[in-house]
Amino acid sequence: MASKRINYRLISQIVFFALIAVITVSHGLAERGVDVGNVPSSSIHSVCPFGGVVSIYRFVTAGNYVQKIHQSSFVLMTLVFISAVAFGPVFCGWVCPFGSFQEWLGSIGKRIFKRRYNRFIPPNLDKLLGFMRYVVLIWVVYVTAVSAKLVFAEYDPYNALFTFWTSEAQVAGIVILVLVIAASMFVERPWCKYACPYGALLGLTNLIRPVSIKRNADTCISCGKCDRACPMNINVSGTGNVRDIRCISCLECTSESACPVKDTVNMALGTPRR
Amino acid sequence: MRIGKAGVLISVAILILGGIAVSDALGLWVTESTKEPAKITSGDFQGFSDPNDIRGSYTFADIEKSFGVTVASIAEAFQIEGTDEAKASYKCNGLEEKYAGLSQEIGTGSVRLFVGLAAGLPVEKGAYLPETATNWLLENAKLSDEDKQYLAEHTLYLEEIAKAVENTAALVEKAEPAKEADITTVSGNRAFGNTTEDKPDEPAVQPKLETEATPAKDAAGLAGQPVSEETSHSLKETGTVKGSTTIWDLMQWGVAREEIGPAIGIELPGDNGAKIRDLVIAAGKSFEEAKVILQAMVDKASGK
Repeated sequence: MASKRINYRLISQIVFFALIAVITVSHGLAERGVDVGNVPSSSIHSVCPFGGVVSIYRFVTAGNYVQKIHQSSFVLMTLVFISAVAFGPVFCGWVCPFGSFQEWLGSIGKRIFKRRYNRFIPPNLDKLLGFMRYVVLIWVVYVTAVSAKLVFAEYDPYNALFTFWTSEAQVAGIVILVLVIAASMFVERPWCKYACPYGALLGLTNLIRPVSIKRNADTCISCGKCDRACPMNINVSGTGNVRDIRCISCLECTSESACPVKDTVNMALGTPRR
Repeated sequence: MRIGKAGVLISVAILILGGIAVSDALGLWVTESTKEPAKITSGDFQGFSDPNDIRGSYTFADIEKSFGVTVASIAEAFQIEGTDEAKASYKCNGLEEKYAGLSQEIGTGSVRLFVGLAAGLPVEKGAYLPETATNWLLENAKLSDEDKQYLAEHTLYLEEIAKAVENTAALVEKAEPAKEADITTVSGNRAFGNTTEDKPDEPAVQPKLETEATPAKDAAGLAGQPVSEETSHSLKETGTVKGSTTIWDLMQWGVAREEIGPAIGIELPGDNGAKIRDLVIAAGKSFEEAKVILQAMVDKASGK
C-alpha cells in the first residue's frame, strides 16, 4: 500500500528545511545580540550554493568572493554540482528548502482544485515560460559580475523567506515571495518552474546525467499518472528516457510512487529498455 | 541498475551532509569572513596587526584578540553599555548608527584610530573620536604631543552638543519652522598637556550652533539625535561612503566612474567590485580624506 510507504523525500525536505531555518534564525538572533549558545549560526548566503555560482567570475578575476559569499558557498556549489551530474537536480527535488516550501503550499491548492491544480497554464505556454529561468540566470550572473555584489539577494524570495524578520530583508524580495505564495495555490513550484536561476543551471545536467528517469514502454499501460504526478509538467509517458531540463529528480512519477505498474518508470543507470 | 527513493536519500545525505562534514574537517567550511586584520609589512612595527585594516564587521572581541586592547576599554571609550557578552559581540559598524546625526562621523574609522593610539601602532589620521574615547586615551595611552594635538582638534563633545540641541531645537521650531538647523560639532582646540590630569573636561570652544538655514554637512540632521527610521532610509538611498563602499556603489549613487579616480588621485581598476578604501590605501593615500571628497560627490549627484 502506497500510504504505508516511508516518504523518504519528505524526510529529506523536512530535515534540510529545518536545518536552514535553525541556522538562519539563530544567525538573525545572534545579530541582535542574543546568545544562541552552541546552535549553528550563519547567514543564509553562506549556506546557499547559488552564491558560489554567481561568485565564480569574481573568484577567477579578482581572487575573492562577492560580498556576503564565503568559501562554504563554493563547497556547497561543488557538492550540489557533483550530485546533479550523477542524479540530475536532486538538490531541487530533495534539498532546496524553497522548493519544499512551495510544494507544501501547493498541497493546499491541490485540495482546492484537485485534478485542475497545476494545469491552468497550457502546456506549450508552460514550457515557453520555463525558459524565463535562463533569462534570469543570465541577468543574475551578469549583474553580479559587473557589480561584485549579491544584487539578486534583493529580489530572491528564498532569501526573503528566511530573513523577512531581519534588516536583511528587502521589499522586492518580500513582494516576490508573496507572489510566489499566491501562485503556489494554482501552480506547483512556480518559482522553480519559471524564475529560479539555479534550477535553470542544474536543469542542464538532465542532458548528460548517467542516472535518469526511464520508462519501460513494454509494460507501460499509458494511464498518464506519471504525467499528472510530475510537479514540473513533464510528459513522462511520451518518452523512454526523461531528458527534459525541467526534471528535478523528485521520483514522483516512478513505480515507487505514481506509476501503478511495477518496474515501469524508474530512475536507473544505463539505456532504457525497449 | 535502478536507484529508488531510499537510495537517493542516502546518496544526498552522504554527498551533501557528508561533504560538509569532510570540508569542515579539512578547514574548508568557512561561513564568515576571517576577522584577522592584515599585518604591517614594513617599518618598526612589521609583523604587528594593522589597525588600519579593522573592518566594520569586526566585533570588539575580534579587536581584543588581534590588538590586545580590551573589550571593556573599547566599550568604555565608545559608551557601549550592556552585558559583557553584548559588548564583546558589538560590531564596529554599529557605532555609525549609535552616533548618527553628528557633523563628523564616528564609526569604524574612529575605532581604527582609537585602537591604533591605544596600542601604540601607526594609524591613519582623519577620523574623529567621542570625548569619552579621547579621555580614555589621555589617561591610559602613551601619546605623542602630535597625537594630543590631533585629538584636541578631532574630538566630539557629545554631551554639550546634546544639551545645545535640546535647548535650541524648540527655538528653531518656533522661530523658523521652514528652516533647518545645522548643528556643527566643533572640537576643543586647545593643545593638551603632557600630564594625564590635563584632560579635555571642558572644551575650549563651545559647540557652535548655527540656527540659520545653513546646508547640513551631514545627511542625518541634528547632532546628538538618534537617526530616525525615515532618515535612515534616506541615508541608504543617497549613499554613505564608508570602508565597504565599492566603485559600483558610487556609480549606483550617481557618481560617474571616470570622475572617481581623478577626484581622489588614484587609478581605478576595471573591477567595479573593488573597495575604494583598499584602492586608496594601496595607493598610499588617506581614506579619510578620500571619503570626504567622495561623499561630497555623492551628495552632489543626489542633489543634496
